[in-house]
Amino acid sequence: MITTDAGAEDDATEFRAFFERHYAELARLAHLLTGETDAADDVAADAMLALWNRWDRVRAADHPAAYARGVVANLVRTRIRGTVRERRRIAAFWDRRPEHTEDPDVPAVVDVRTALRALPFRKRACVVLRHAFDLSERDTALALGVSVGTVKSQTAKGMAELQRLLGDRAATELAAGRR
Amino acid sequence: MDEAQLRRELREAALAHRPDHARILARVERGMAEPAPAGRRGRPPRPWTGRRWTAAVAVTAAVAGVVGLGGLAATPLDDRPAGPATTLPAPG
Repeated sequence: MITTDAGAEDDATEFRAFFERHYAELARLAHLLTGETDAADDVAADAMLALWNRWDRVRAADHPAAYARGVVANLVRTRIRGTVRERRRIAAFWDRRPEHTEDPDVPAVVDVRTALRALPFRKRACVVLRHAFDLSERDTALALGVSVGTVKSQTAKGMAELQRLLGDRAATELAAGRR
Repeated sequence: MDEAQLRRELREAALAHRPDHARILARVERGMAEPAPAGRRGRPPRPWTGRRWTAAVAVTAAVAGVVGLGGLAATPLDDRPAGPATTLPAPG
């Protein structure tokens, strides 16, 4: 009995240390994937709780941090899957652009976070993990449960799409400045 | 926009979020205080097959009983069938 209690206490202490090391990164990842501030913190908390509920498996994993990132990605994907919100947001994104183009007082027509939300989930996740969090292709693949080849291709396509979207922004800003 | 600038903007966008430590910790601690999800699922629903059969048999018996009693009640107990007809006189 005493051994079990001591073991549970050790688990809790270990988990707390893991929480303090990783909560900020997980919340930031959730923020870039969801685009929502409050939801990001809730997703990070839910991911931490999911990790606690399978703590034995997490601590035994070769890459607990990658596992944790994967849990966040899955929670976000579940959150947006099956809802029309994502599609509506993309539609709203495209619909908003001409209005902003006509208003030279609005400085940034499309910022990088808005542009990210226009990407399909897997491309977004690859771009975010690779370039916002500087993870290697291998670590990104580990977190998302996909092959390194998929990470390479999805990241390249995602970056090209972002550049195109933000290139349009630069052109729009330039046009607004000239007016 | 070149790729280097895009990467810089992505990193800045990631750092721009200031997670609310207290809020996240409180949510996690609330969850840790509750039983694990497997426990929360509770007892699996009971199989209904046996009970359904029992119910069907009971209903059938009840209906049969009501119909039987109704039939008895409609038949007067003293209304016995008439006895054999009076012996007819033998012909001629």
